[in-house]
Amino acid sequence: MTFCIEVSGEFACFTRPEMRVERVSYDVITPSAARNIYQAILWKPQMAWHIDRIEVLNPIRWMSIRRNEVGSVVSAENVRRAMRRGQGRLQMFVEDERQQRSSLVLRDVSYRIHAHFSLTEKAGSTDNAEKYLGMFLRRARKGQVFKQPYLGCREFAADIELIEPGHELSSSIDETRDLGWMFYDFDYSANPPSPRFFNARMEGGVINIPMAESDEVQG
Amino acid sequence: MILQSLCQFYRSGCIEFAPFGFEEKPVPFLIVINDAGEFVSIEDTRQTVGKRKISQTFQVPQAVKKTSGISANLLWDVAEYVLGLDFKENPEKTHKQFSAFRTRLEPFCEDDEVQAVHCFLAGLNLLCLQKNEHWQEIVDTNCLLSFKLEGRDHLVCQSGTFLDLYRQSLENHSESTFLPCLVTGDITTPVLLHPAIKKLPGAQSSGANIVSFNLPAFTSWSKKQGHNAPTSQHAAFEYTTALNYLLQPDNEHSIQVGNRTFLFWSETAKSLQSVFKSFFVESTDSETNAVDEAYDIAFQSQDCCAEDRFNVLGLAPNNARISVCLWHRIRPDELLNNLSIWFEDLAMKGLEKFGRSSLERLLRCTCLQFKTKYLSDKLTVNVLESMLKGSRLPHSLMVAVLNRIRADEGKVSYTRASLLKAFINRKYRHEGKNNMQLTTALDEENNQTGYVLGRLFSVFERLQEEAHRSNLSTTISSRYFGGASIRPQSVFNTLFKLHIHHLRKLQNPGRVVNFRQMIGDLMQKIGNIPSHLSSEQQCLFAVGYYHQRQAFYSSNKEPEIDDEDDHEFE
Repeated sequence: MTFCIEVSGEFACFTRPEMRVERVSYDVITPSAARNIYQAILWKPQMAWHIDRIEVLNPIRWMSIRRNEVGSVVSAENVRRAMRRGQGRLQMFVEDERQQRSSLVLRDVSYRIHAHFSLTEKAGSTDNAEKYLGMFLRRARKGQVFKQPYLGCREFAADIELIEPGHELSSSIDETRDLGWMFYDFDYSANPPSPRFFNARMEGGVINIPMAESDEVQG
Repeated sequence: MILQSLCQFYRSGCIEFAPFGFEEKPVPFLIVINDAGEFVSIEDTRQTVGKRKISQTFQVPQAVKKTSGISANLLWDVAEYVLGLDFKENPEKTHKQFSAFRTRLEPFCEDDEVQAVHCFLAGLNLLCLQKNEHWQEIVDTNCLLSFKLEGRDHLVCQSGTFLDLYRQSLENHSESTFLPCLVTGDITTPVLLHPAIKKLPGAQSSGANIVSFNLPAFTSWSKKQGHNAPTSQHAAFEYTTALNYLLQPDNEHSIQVGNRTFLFWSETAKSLQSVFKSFFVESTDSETNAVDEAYDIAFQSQDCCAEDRFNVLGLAPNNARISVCLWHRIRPDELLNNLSIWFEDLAMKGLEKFGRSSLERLLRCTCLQFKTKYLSDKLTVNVLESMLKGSRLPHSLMVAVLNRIRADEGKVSYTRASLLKAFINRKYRHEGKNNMQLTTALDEENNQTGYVLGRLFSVFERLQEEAHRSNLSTTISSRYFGGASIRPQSVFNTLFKLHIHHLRKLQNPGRVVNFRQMIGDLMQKIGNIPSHLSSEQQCLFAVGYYHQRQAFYSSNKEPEIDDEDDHEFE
């Protein structure tokens, strides 16, 4: 069974790995960002989401902004030491670490995302797909989320709407273009997790996402 | 897609780029030695062009990334490294630099020529060199040096055996990490540090990077440097070489506005590419209008192919980093179409006289004293984007123009009027109000309040001018333009009182009748004068004023007054 949701928002930034510091977004939502939106509605270790298709509903528009971000991370060693001793300094003051960085972000985005899920080996004898299917639909219809779904960056909140079968659909944009090698997702079975890429192509506003196991996904 | 497009440009073969592992460097002096490694002479490669001396460019092994540490280039470098000259009074460091330069040669000593250089450096005797006529210049400038063998016409770093060895060394990867390259998709060993991008105005002179991870917050999963964005050696080389080529100053590929640099390139649309710059940069040659010429060339050419894309990349410096502020890929025919719409929207009465305006000239009319240093970078990017895409112009542009007109006491120049007209026409097109588009010259059918009020204001000003033949220090326009375009009701009451006074002063009774009729006609169109005008109506006011003013000049057969002040083109 496949599910369909429409997500939209005023801004979005699906940061390209090569331009992660002075951010530049991908042209469209990446499969991993789409997966995260589904996971915001329902996720358990017993299930795994797979994105099948992304339809781009709004024309691709860009905007350049400057924002304050930070340059440092909290030191893991300090955290470990504090855990051992039961006391220590774990804070980070953004005022001291502040950096002005520019971003080339997307404006007024809207996507229709088709996905399905499968059960993982963590699923026990009491788990079945029927159960999670029901849970997802109940939650999505009520607008319940575990965390605020977002469009690439946490500060760009997404509005989501479940599209029921038989619902009248707006058409995707009439644009065909090669999107180049795009981030697919991390392979979390590797240590450390390794990035995977796929050659994305938009045909009439529709991007078909290959399965994670297929040869089209490199990495 | 930015890196991909740059790599594609590198591989397209339309420009002869340096091959993988090499780069083009201007080297002013060559040290000539013989086969035994003995010093012969110093060769000056420079040629005098005008007043400057230009060094010859050679293909040399690619530069290493210079940091505060010591790293030497292969067979070429500055005098500090090549000859161990001490410039910073730090003999210890200089010695290390000199030995680093020699150590780099060692793996290539199989080559006879490299062997000769190695011998020369091992027994380096600066006394012989000091007698040479070019010595002082080398010491003064710490310039780049390379080696050449007596009687050969190539540099040591261009000899056949060396090249084979060098190419082999490039393919050796000691690392065992394999990741997919995000430019090509090939599984490869990613580069840790990307080659530097030089000559971006405003960035560090030693070079800056688009792809760099120099602080812990930029990395993920404890990956090091370039492993965060896996890129193959070749791809990193190709895109940086292409970028460095595009950034060469004074070429046809780059324009600079404020601290933003815009690069553009295309693989097939050559003639469009060669004139594209003229649409943006003001020409210094006043004889001909470069924009008009460029327009004709661009539209006559048919050399673009459907698969090709015209790329526009906007870069902004941020010390060691480079940020992208604009990225646009468009089919050349689409771009031409958008450009023709752009110039059509800007077309204004006076076009024959002033010609089409470059973007720089247009934007300068929004600046204090027409100086580009007061130009907002953000506005530039937005207007440029609108020009390329054929989309609406930013609201901030209209605000900037209106503010400038008010601050300059109602000086609605040709360029300002053009910009406002373009703003309104693009807005109306976007909103589907095509029937309300503004025309290039006076449109007597246009009954929009702002437009008619602007015309009326112009009539009052004309009346004042005719009543007072002598030059006035303050005119109606300089005194009331701002008020009349924002709060017309209060200002026009005053103007009505004034105009009776001016009518009395007119010598020619025929003109009195003319003016009365004109004012009466216009008043009839408006009805009640509104108390306040919206920003859109303020635009129409300025355009109506400009149109009416131009109509007066042409109908009276007086010389058309050049209301474009000379200082606009300082």
